[in-house]
Amino acid sequence: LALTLDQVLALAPDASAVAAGKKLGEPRPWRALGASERAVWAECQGSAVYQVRVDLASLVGKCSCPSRKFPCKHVLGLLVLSVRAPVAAASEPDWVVEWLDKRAAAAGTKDARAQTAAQAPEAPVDETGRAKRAEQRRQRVDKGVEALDLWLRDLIHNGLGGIEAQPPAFWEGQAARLVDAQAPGLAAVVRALAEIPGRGAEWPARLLDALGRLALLTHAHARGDALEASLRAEIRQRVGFTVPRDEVLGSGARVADAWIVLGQIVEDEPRLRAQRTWLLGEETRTLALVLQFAAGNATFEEAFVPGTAFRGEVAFFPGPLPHRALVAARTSIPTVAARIPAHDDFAAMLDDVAARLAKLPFLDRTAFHVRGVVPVAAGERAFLVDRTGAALALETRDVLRLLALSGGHPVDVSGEWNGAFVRPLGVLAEGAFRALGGPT
Amino acid sequence: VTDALTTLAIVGTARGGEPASVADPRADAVLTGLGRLGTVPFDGRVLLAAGVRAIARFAGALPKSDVTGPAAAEAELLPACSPRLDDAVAAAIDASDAALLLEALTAVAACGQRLPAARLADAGKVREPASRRAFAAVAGARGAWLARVHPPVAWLAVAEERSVDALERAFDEEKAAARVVTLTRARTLAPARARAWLEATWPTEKADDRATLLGALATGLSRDDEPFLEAALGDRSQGVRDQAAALLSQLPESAYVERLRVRAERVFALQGSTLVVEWPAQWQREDVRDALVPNVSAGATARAAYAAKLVGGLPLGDWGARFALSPAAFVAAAREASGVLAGLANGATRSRDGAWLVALLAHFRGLDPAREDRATLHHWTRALFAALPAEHASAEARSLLDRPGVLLPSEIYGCAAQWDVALGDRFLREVRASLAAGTHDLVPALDRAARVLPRECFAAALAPLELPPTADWLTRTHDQFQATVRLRHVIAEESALARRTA
Repeated sequence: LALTLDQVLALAPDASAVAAGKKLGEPRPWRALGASERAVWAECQGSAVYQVRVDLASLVGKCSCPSRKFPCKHVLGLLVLSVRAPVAAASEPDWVVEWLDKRAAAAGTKDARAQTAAQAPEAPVDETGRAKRAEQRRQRVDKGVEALDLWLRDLIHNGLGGIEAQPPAFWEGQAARLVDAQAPGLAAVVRALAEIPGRGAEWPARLLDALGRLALLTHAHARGDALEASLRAEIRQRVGFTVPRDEVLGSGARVADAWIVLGQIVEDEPRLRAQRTWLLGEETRTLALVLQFAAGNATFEEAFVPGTAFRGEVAFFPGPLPHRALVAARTSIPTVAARIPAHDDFAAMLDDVAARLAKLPFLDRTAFHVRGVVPVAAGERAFLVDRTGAALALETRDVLRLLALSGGHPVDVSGEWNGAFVRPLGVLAEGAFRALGGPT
Repeated sequence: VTDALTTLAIVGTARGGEPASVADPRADAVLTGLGRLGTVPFDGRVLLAAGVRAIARFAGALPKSDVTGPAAAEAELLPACSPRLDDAVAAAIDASDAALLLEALTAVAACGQRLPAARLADAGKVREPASRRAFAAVAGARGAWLARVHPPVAWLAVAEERSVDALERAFDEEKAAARVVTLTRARTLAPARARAWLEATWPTEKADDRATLLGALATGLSRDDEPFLEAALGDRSQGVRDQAAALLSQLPESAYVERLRVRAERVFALQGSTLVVEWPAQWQREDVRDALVPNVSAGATARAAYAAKLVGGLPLGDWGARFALSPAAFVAAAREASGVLAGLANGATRSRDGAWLVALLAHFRGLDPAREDRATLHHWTRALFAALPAEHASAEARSLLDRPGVLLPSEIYGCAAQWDVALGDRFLREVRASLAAGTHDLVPALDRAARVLPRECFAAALAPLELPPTADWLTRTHDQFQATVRLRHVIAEESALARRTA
């Protein structure tokens, strides 16, 4: 497996799984070890004998153990073992073939469904009923957006002074009303607003910015008919209308490339974990954001290892800028990314951001990889300084790791930029890419 | 500084009115442009202006140009330790296992190596002072650089010992708990000067702080401290008086110990093979001042505590010199003398005198748990066992394995010393035998055993055990035991390899 140990261990759900995976990465407990172009597999002697297999294209594994962690320590152990020493080629045993076939069949079904959705004429369903339901939802959303607009204007009318004393129910109530109005995207934005008041000296300005951007969205929604179709589609998604996966895979714009995983961020929400993975096309330099959600300890459907690259096709959600995407097909197994396209300095990176915002003003964050920057700690704050001396503020969460890895020397950094702070995603130092940015 | 648009939003348009301009060209353009259209109320225009301004700021963000970093870290002089040893360090940090971390870091240092730069990022997780010292010692040039540029890990700069002057400043400025650490550190460098700081602030310290700070004089204790400690015996706080008495009793030539000797001459006598006690008719003010009784009216109930303090404050050698008895014989003679054994046990645990500890352990172990206060018995057997010096600990633990009893696992658990190969082998055999017999008496001792087993026993310790399939807790304890042993095994292997390579 052409990955580094760190990259494989980045798949672990927690620190104890990392330790257990490393422990099982020794040959002793393994037997019937083999690999093909598609998979690696083996049996692990634990308190019972477990059958462990990993699909090399997606790095998704399956184990017969009863663990509720995904991937379990046996899958991680097998990956560690494969990284430490090449696994001899062998013919796939039945239990591996069966699993791979099942996965391929499931993927085929998904593809076929997507193709059908894209090509086949709409099934002769109850058109009248569907139109009625759509109209009902449109009306409900419109009413919810109108009420939100009024609420926002009331905030400004009465003033933001003292709003930090409002209980969580103040924000949650409005978010719940938007959920009732079937506008979950706006509800999520309102919930995020609750995190701003009282945090940091400049919170009123940040809150006003966020309220203003939300107001722009509601305003644009109200004037949707006057907008270009792609921008209208983007706004609908941000309000909360979902685009079915099949529709994205079937008719979304597709880009084939060697996709580099720049990094990912997992955010814990009350009943859900949300993962943002940033992909960068090596040849087209296209950025793609893959969002995945998982409840509780459940695994995310697809595994992405920061610092690796895979060949494949990405399908973008509709919008004026290729932004949110799904991986439509992987045609190679992931390997260490040999070369990550990078900006030479922040001026070039910020020009790129401005160009993206010109197409999609509702963009709230973007990602980048920049060459030769020095992390600098300055009192309570931290910065990344490029080769021209230009500096961007850095979230201080991973600053010690960045400082330790750079030692004040230039390093290549991947990050997520929201206009105010860089959140580091990974660092290329001493020839190795290391993922940054743990769960929030 | 809040801009005009934000100020308006904070105040509210109900009170802030509708200004013609908010001194921001982009915001003003939105306010006036939309105002002219007349379709959006003023509150809404403020919001939209703020939104446009936010996007414009995002799109037009400019980097700062006034940030300069310090000089880069110097080149490393030492090689990085092996990835396996680094993994062991990481595992010990993740497990918050201070003892294991110390073992791993000591191995890195002993190999003449340093931690890889990436591991230094875990410095924030290292809390315990001894671990920090050991971590800093192998942090290399990168660690020294980090200490300079990132204040939260300034402790990585071990080489820069704080001067006594700096400690004095810290002692004046710090809060109580930190001052004890500072004073203790200063006592190792300049004991008399450190004591003088305490003498200077003494009248203004609170009673609890006085007792705690006085305890710091245990470091670098000498007869030079005696006058101050004697004065502290007159303190109005019982805690301070007890602390002063405890310190003075560690100075065998002190006037305090001499006063105890005089009392002991009067109070204790040997009749045949029995120690007899002639209690004072009434407590004196001097007894209170020497922290032997709480007050002169304490009565007969204070006798046991008086005897324990009197005996505990005297050097153990006094008894042999006076009565010509071995520790075991004296313990036997004193078995009925109220408080005397507690005093002897206190003295033995403090001085870690092997012969006395063994004699007292034998005595307490010989008592019938059904007829004694089990908590007291448990306390003393555990405390005495934990204080045993290395040369006695393994032999004692082995003898316990020969005679398993109710207190066995916790005593072994309390054994602080490293075991020898014979005890390690014996223990592992006993664990297997007891599990095979369906008993779990020794299982609680596995955690401690993982840390004190000698390396020669690692292979045997890592062999799979036959565990009942349903006992999850047993599996967890066993897995943790083997994980710790495995890490120690890695540390030992990598150390040996590095030494051979060197």
